[in-house]
Amino acid sequence: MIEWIHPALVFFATAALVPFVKGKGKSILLIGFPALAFFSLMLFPDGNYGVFTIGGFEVVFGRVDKLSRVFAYVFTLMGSVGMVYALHVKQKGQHIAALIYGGGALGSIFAGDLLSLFVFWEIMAFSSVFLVWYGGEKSWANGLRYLMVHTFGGLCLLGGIVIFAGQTGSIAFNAIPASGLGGWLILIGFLINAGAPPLHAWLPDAYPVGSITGTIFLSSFTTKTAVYVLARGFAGTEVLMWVGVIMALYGVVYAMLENNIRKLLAYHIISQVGFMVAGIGVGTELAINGAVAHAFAHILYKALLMMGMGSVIFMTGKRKGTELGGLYRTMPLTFGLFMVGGFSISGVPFLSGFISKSMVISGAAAAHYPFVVLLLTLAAAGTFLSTTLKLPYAVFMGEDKGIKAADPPGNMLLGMGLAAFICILLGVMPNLLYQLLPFPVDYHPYTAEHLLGSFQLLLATLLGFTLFLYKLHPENTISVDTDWVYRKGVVWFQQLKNPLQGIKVLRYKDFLQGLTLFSRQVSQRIQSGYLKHALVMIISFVMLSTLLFSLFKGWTLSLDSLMQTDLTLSQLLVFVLIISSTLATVLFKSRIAAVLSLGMTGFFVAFFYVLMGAPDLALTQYLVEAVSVILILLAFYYLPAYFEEKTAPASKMTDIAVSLLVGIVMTFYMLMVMDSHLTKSIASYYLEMSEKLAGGRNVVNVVIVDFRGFDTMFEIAVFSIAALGIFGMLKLNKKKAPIQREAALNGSLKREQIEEAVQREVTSK
Amino acid sequence: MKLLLPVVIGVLFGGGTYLMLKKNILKLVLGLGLISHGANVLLISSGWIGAGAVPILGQDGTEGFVDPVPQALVLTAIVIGFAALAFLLVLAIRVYRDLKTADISEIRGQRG
Amino acid sequence: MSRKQTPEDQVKKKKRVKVLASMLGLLMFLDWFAPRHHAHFFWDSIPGFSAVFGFIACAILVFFSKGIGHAFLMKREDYYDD
Repeated sequence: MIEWIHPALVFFATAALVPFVKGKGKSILLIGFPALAFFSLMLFPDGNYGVFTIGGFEVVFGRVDKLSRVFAYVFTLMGSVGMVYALHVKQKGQHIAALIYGGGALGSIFAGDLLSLFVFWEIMAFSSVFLVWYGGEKSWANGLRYLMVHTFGGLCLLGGIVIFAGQTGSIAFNAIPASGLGGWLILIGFLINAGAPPLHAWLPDAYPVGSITGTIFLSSFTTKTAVYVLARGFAGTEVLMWVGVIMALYGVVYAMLENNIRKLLAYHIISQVGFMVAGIGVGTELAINGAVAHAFAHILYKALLMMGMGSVIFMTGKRKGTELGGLYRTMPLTFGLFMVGGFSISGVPFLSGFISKSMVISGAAAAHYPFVVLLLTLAAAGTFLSTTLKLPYAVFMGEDKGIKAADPPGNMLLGMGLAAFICILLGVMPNLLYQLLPFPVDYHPYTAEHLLGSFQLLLATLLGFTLFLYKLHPENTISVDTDWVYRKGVVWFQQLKNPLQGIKVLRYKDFLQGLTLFSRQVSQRIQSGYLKHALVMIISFVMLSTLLFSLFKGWTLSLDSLMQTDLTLSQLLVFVLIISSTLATVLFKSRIAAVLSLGMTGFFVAFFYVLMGAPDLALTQYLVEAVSVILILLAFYYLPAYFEEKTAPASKMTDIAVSLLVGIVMTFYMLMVMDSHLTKSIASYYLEMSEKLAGGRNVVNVVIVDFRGFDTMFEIAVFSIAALGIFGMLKLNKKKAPIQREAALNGSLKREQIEEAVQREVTSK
Repeated sequence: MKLLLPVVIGVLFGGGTYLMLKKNILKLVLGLGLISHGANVLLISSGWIGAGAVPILGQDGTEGFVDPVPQALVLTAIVIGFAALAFLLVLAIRVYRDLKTADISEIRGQRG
Repeated sequence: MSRKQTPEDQVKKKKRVKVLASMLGLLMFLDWFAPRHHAHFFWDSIPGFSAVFGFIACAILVFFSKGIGHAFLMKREDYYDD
């Protein structure tokens, strides 16, 4: 019986199978496999599975306990429900990306050590960015910024892991103290994914431009995985409380101002995750239970909300509150299901939000943090206001702009319906969720006090909404967020304006301009774009610096010891032959002669190998040389016949000088090296063990095939890659626009010029 | 021997570099071939422990053999060198096909 | 910008406000009878506190966010396009 199946593997397997299925098979695959993963979670008991020891560290792929299991439940569930919603999507790449993304999230959840966590973390980032890019051409820049921030976060995480592992000596992923550089870096890496300001701007930047179905998945996994790792690693870290509160309020404020309907929800994710982070910060059992319950419920109702808005965009093509309105008549089902999500997120009783959100606040209250309680309640009111009142008012109610719309196709409605059903189910039977929570639950949401309190809060907010409605009309603007720094701030800095115009003393702007000009000229001179130029510079720099270095170190040769060696006739002969054939290759004016001379050089070198006691090498060299010569001769068919060239004397001087430099430096170093015996050779080990361990007598072969088998494996890999590259170069992209030839021949063409020329080509055809 | 071997290596490297700096794209390929040879010869010379026997074990124990490790490494290097040569060759063909010139001094990449 | 309200809207609004306010009043009254569990903070034992807080919260949020938005956060749509 199989010990355990990693749900991530199920998702990856599903992704691998996607290209091969269509029609009904596709539906079964996409919905069924994640559902299978969901059910499989119920079969296996807690424990550590998939434990490997790599290089002295213990890598755990499957750490199953209550905390990881509950997240896995909701992730697999979401995978299935999301796929129902996304069934109509034709681009298989989207499904593949979403499944790999989900698999990455599951992998992170079950990772018991920091190393596998990091691997799956990066898998998540690199697969989710495709869901952003599938949103259309305009999303390219957003996706790039998303990737930038996530890579930065990943680097912080990696740095933190390395430092932390160095300090503690283990990579086990359990509670991490937020002290010391390692712990802080890991925390920052986690918080970036959670969407904590100031490094949160990627979320409202990327989520609204992703594909309609892709954003559903985006909103489900990254931030909640971050919540999980924070709960696992930093539970009770007090600073998280305040970070969470700031997040909760920040998200709501921006949501109030936002016009783009999905961006509003994206800011809202930050707010809700803030609740979770705050709960983790409080650290009591109740608070963490609350954070986890909130995460579970949130994934579902946020997905429902996103699905609702996604359906609106799908059917109307409009994304802004200023352009929408009055859709409740034409899209009644969407409206209804959306409102279920909206009420859920606001904590209306009998829905999932009510039983989860209040746990966090109660946890904070029980731990005696009055400000946290008040501010989170404030944010909760804001949630209701922005997501459940302002947004549906702008989209569904409000001015009827006469937009043509209808309810979206069946699978999308079904997806929404499923999510809504679960929200209601959990609201009515909270124990279903409570029994999954990591700590035992002694919380009873349905008390008179609590019910009354919730209704009061909601009604009072509704009252305020009604009173201040005139102020809450959607405005066609975007809000500046912290990504201003790398979007506009950098540009602004470059164009620093001289605040004191006219005063000649302060020439700061001119200085900057001059500096920029100078550096541009320098780099244009160094990087002229010509290969030869680059080669000359690189080679001479390396050789000269090596030479200078050795002079500086005072290394010299003792020529006497070198003179006293015996030289056999065969050695002398081989050397003379090699030297002459090399000179022949260089000097011959006919291309065939030059190539054949190269071949001869190879043959003589092979003979040299024989003299050095390396028969296998000689064999290989002969074969390879023969094939190389044949290959080059074959290539003659495709290359022009001229071979001689006229070079300017100055150019020729440079060539000779550089080659002489190279030759002399190499000779010099070789002479020095031959005399020294710095390290002990490891040959004795191989010679002794070759027959005993590997059963072979030809030690070189044994080394290649057995002792250093990985080297050979990579050699084969490199060879295959070269072969692939060759195939690609010969067969692919055969038709190339002449303009690209222009651009290559004269690298100074600007991008616009190239585009113009391509346009001209296209229209003239 | 100890004096001539470095000279041979120097000639190989120098000659290869000279060819790589020439204009014809085919010479670039030939230059690479020469430099590969130079590098391989250099590597294998590090295994020369005086006069030694070919490292194939017989009944005589494990002494007095030439170092087998550089030989193994050079074997790998020869193969990879060949792959690189073939790749560069096909690249040259492709460049000529697309840009209609086999003179690399006419081809210009990005400036600055 | 805030839309100007037509007279009919004013009437509708007044009606809604009245209904909501009375519902709220009822809830606050009921709250007086609700059994209190351990009150963590002083406000837990005040009946109708959630209602008052909710209203104030709403007001603060609306005015604060719109205020800060109009002050410097909100820009035209093509602000980032160079």
